[in-house]
Amino acid sequence: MRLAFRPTTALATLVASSWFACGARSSVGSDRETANASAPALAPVFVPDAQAYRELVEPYFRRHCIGCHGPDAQEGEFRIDQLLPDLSERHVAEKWLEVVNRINKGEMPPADEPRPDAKQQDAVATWIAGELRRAAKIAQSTGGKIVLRRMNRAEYNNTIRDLIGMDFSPAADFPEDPPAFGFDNVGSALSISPLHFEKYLRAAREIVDRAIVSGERPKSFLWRLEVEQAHPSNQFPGRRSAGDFELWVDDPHTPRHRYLIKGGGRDVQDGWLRQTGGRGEGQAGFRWFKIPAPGEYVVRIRAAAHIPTRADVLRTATALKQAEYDRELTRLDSDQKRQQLRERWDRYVWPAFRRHLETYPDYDYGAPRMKVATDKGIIVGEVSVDAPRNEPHVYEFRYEFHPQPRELDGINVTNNYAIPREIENLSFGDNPGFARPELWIDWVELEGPVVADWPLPSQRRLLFDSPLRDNETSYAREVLDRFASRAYRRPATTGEIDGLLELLREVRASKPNFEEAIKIPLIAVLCSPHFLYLVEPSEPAENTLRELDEWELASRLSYFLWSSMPDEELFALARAGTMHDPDTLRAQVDRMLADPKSAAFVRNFTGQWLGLRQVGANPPGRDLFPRYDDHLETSMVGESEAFFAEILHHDLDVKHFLKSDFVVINERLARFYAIPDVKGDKFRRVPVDPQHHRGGLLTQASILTITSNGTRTSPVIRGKWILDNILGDPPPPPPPDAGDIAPKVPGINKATVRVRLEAHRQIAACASCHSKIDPLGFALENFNADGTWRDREGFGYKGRIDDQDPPIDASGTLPDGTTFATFEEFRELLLHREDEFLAALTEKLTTYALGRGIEYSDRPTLEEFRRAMKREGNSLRSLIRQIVTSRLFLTK
Amino acid sequence: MPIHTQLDRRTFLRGAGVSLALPLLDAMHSRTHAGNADKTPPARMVFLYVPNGVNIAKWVPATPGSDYSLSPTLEALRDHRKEFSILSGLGHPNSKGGHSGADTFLTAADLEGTPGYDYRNSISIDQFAAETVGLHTRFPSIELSTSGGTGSPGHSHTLAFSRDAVPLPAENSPRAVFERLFVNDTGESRAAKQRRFEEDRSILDALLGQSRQLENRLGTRDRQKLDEYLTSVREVERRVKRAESWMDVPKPEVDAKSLALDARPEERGDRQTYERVMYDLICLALQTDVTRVVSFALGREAGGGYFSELGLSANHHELSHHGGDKDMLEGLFKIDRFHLEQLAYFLGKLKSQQEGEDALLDRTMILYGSGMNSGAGGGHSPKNLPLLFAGGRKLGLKLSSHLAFAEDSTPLSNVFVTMLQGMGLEHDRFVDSRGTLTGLT
Repeated sequence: MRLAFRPTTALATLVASSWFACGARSSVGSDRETANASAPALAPVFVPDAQAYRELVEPYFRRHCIGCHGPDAQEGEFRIDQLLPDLSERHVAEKWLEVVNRINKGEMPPADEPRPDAKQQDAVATWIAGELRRAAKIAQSTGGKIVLRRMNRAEYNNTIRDLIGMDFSPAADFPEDPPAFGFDNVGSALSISPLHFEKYLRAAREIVDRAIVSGERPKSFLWRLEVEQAHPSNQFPGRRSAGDFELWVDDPHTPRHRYLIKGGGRDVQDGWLRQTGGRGEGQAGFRWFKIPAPGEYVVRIRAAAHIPTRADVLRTATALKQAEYDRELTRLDSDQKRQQLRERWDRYVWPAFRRHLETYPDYDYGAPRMKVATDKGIIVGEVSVDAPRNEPHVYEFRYEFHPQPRELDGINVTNNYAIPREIENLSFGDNPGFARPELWIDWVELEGPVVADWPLPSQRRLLFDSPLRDNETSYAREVLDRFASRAYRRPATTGEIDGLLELLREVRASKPNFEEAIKIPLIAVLCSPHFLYLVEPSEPAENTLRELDEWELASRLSYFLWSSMPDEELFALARAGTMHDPDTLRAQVDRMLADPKSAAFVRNFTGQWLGLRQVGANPPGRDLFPRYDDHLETSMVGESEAFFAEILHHDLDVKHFLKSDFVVINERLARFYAIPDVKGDKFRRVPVDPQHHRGGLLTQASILTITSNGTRTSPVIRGKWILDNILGDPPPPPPPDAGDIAPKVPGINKATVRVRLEAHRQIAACASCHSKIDPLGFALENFNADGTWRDREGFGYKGRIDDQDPPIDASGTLPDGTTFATFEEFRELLLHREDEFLAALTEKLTTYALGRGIEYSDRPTLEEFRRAMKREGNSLRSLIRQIVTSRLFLTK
Repeated sequence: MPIHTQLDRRTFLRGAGVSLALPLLDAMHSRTHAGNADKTPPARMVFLYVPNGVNIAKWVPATPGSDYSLSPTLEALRDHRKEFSILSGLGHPNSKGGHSGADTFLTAADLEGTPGYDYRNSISIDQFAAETVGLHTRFPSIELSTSGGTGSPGHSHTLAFSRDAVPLPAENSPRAVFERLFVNDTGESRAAKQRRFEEDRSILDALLGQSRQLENRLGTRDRQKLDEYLTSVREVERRVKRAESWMDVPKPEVDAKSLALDARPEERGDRQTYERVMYDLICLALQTDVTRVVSFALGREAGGGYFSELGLSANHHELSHHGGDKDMLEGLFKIDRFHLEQLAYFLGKLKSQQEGEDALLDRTMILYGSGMNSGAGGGHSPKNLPLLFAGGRKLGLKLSSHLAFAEDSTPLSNVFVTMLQGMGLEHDRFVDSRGTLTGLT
């Protein structure tokens, strides 16, 4: 969390209401006073820390500041003796912020004044920063109440999936949801704007139009492309690449329309196209065809793979290298020069070349990656193709085509396997003679719209069979009652249904049939606040908490563990009135976690706790980190999610997050981590040895890349990440103009990131915070910005590492004086800080579960959670059970 | 809001060409300004954003004043020397720097400064202006970017943020932009559209009714939340009315033949063709008065693509972390030049389009720049931003100078206030502004 105020901030830009709200409100206690009370205080107020002010701060001010900023002189029209420690007033807090910034930057006291004692100054600065944070936190307080919250995007998609039975991400183009307290399910931050509402309205129309389709069963169409069909395209003047093989074909399904098929080229053999992922190779796909009817289509591709072995790589590379050598040799005109060349190659070139080919892990090729995308670049799917050439396989993908009028679309198949360009200095980088994973394609088919049942299952769910069907009004009531009661996640009231029926009556005359007319009230349900918000109406008395009712609790639980609406079983429990029974809740936790829908919990919680959603936002640069590619990126996220899921589902000690003797990886990551014998794209548990340097969150490529800046490691970001997420001790924000680290250090030829950062720490203003942050980051310096292990920091061409480069120094001293020499030692030290980690995890998970920030008054409860969790073997599941059976979770 | 057209459906503009018929433009102005009987062409504003900063050493001219010499980068704009001013020393004091520059370029917000939010932006200057000037046009504003969509907090792909601080998704496909601005929707009959508007109204009415019942059962904070909902529903009601009133006004017809509408952004296509067709479309949009406010991000922060056509192998973002490296700075310089060459194309186009007595450029204010200064060491500071202001001479803007300000002395928001006033809006504040920009008017 960052501070809420800055001296330069125009007041007008801040949302002032929440800030002033707490100061103005009368309250039952302060966050300090109520820390041990059993009932949470509803509106905490800031109580000044008068004692510390009197004993620590005031004496310091008197000695160093008051001469110029006191009764006798008011430089800058500022009197520090009038600055009171009540930071609940925003203008006071802003002054304090300015004071701490001036102190931290070393501007105050000015250089010509006597220097304050460094320790004392540090204590004063730390106290001010802490008070500012405390005040900001109280200002944000919702008084322990969970504010009416709307669904976020993920929840909306999942809810529609479970409500309608169609999974098509209608919220994909909704605005991004703003995070608060680290999560995007916090009601106080989730607002609705006109833009949101327009999207809700549009999405609701689209949903019902897709779910209810009256009329005849749509006809299905089939296009098929044999790769050998196309001809060289240079017969089409003006097309850019003459090497493409293309053919215009009369579209069998649209009169007077032609579409383009792409395929073949040089690499077609016996009717199969070979793709190796190189530039300018033959393509397979259709372009510019017209989708005759919207709906779900299936793409089928008959494909196979040839995966060369390392021996193949060595052989083909050596042959190409030999040819290069021969060419150079013939170019020379004297025996002496030829002899020199021979010696140079024997001594340097060949050994380096062989060493690279024999040791570089990425030459243990994996299966080619078949990527299917539309013309607009939307990815339909990507899979590893491992069917051998003599046993080809038909791969299937599904895609919803919903084109705009006149819009044309297409399907393109490519091999997205990336070979690192480490061999770019070798002359055969793109040479087709070099062994690469080969994707072989026989044909591509597109068929659709796929209609397995008619009417659609979604339609039959919404417009079910009923004895009332003959009486339109009674039937409409039944349909709307059933739908609204699920959409609102509680029985709809008669008044609500009457309102919807009224709407139906209004539009009925203008609609051709009942199916079209009923859509209008269905749209209204999907735009209702009762659907969009998780509504938990309040008691009239503001300052009391009330118990959730059965339906509200069912929803709270299902949005926590499924990011979606309750299912029939939860509804049944609510109906029966047994939802609140602690044993029921615990049993439901187990049932719900075992359900595949709990993947949403894993994804949404880890995506935000660990920051996995940031993977790929600022990726390692391709030039400096050639091993980074699309497949690696998705695998990185997959690893951390799968690792979390492994600990959750097998009820392992959460200390495994800090250190584990296994990893959960797929083949792509295994190659990246140089861990042998992992085949296939599935994530599975693999034991690791010390020489792999892996095990625990901090060794995962996902975390290591998001805490780097794309070009180099960032020990500061890494240190802050550990403080925020592992130790639960976020550092204060940097002063406004902290700046980047110096690019060069005078007198040092190869200044490592660490050396450059240490130069930064010489500045006293930076030292107090950075001595806490940086050592944690230094411990990870062996992991490069792409997550690979390194022993030295590379200063070669494009960051390559050679034997002369400076070795990594991963040692450090923590503020309490503990020292470590290596990453492994550091990891052991973290294990000793188990309690801090458990507390941090508890806070994160509770925030996510409640959808609100943690208040000071919640601390005792969280402490109980932590202890209970520890008693039960540090089990994540036990923590979840603790939370859902707690007063915090069960009340509004 | 007067929305009766005098445009003949059959008249059309020649797409990217310059042969625009004068009488046609005059006709359009009498439409758009029918309300105030003023035939002066409208004022427009265009915001152009380059990510990852620039090679500042080759960007900033050596001396201030009107007799400054073009810096090596600015040489690309030599032909338009009189049409722009260079602004140096300005910045966004609230911004934290780094790659959140696109988020705050037009908002000047302190993204972490709102209690209760990890991130919260505020309304961007284009949207602020569009709230008023947008009432006259079919599209209050147009948002464009190479990446499209909204991006994520701190890595925005759009420059525009609504009054509620919601990022407004940007469009990146030239074809989609063209369809939206210039192609009449034929998918539905007029009667069907009319019916849909009526349905929307009925739905919204029903929702308002439902919500009022709920409102009584909520506590204070929850009620504040529900208020957002109610406000939004009412606003959407207004938008439905507005859309309805435009229903019978045909979109201006524009010839698409010479427009490269299939150009693709960044390395997926030919970058120059792409940037130019986007500029073509902006020019057409302003010319035909379908909007008066445009924002366009020419790349995305912490990305920005590879410029292999310039012989560069590292991507734009990598180069921005140059650490003072000579070759990387040279690479940045090439990219900066490239973008300015395309800007020169845009300025040339606006200059050659006459409306009445003046060139289109004379009534179009263009702010071009980046939200970071990848300075001497490759730091990503939000101070001393590379900025260029072009056009708007007939709106009272003074050009052709290097306006140099001391670092930290003047917020970029002052330029925004100048631009608001150039649009004829009586505002003297935007976020942290301290007046208009001295020297620009």
